[in-house]
Amino acid sequence: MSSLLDAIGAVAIGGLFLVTMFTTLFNVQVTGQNIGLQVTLNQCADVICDELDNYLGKVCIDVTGSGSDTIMVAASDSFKFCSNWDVFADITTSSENVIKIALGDSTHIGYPMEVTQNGILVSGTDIPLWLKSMKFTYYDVDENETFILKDIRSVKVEMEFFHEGSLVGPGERNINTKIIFWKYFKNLYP
Amino acid sequence: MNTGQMLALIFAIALFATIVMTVNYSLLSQSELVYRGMYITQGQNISEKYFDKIEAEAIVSNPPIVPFDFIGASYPNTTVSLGSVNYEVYISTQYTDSLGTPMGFPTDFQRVDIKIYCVGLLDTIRFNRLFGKVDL
Repeated sequence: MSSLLDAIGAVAIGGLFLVTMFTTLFNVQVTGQNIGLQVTLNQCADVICDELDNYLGKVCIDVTGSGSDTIMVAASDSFKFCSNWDVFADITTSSENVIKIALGDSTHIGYPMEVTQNGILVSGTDIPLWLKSMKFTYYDVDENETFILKDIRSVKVEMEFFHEGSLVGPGERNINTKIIFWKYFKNLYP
Repeated sequence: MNTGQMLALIFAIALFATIVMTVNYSLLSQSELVYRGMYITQGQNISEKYFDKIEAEAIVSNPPIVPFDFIGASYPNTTVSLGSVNYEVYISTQYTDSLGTPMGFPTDFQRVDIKIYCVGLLDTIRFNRLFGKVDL
């Protein structure tokens, strides 16, 4: 009888040990995968920010005029401006181009950040890269928030990225990354 | 259960607990590294903002919104709050020669040093840029 109790006890303790071990291993794998996804998401955010920063650096290059001649649309989700820079050829030109940055249509892997020049989509910018939201806030020369086109001198861009985490079922959550950057439109300074 | 078995059991529990704690610590360290990377990227963006602002207001604009010799006084230390994270930004300037060697008197070159700290960074990150006076 004593041996039987010992055996039952050993099985119970061994079972608990195994359950704990497998749970730990599962959690380790899930956490590892989530960390990997977070790194990928951060890299993705970095790439899109660099790309957007590059476009915003070309605002109103060699454009004469003010107000709606230079910046045409300044909304919280889109930005349209003139520039003598050609997005496709990556050079400055003698003619003005109208460049628009806006969110595309929603997909299950986020929004694409679409860039068009004179209505023609820049290739590669229609690919959604887990972008969840993009918000532009515009500032005048005194750093006051403004929507008056002729007063805009800088912009703050807030971007949020997401990716589904590895954990499924109860407790499922998305992995998020938020990044903010600013750009001063030096061509608009007197 | 005799004493030997009891000691073996205690040893096994201690060993198992150590392994679990080590694994958890390792995972926490990895997460911390990932988040630290995010804070560094954001800190870099904040420093870029101030370099960009100085360039626009003191170098590019004509007449300058901020005179070249007033760069140091015009951009004080500040706190940038992004969500629940506060980034402490320390800005200092120093007159240098064209190669960035510090000079003790006013010259046509200034090095702007920006130090950024936030709790998640665990350390201070430093950036600097050399600005030259331009006569437009």
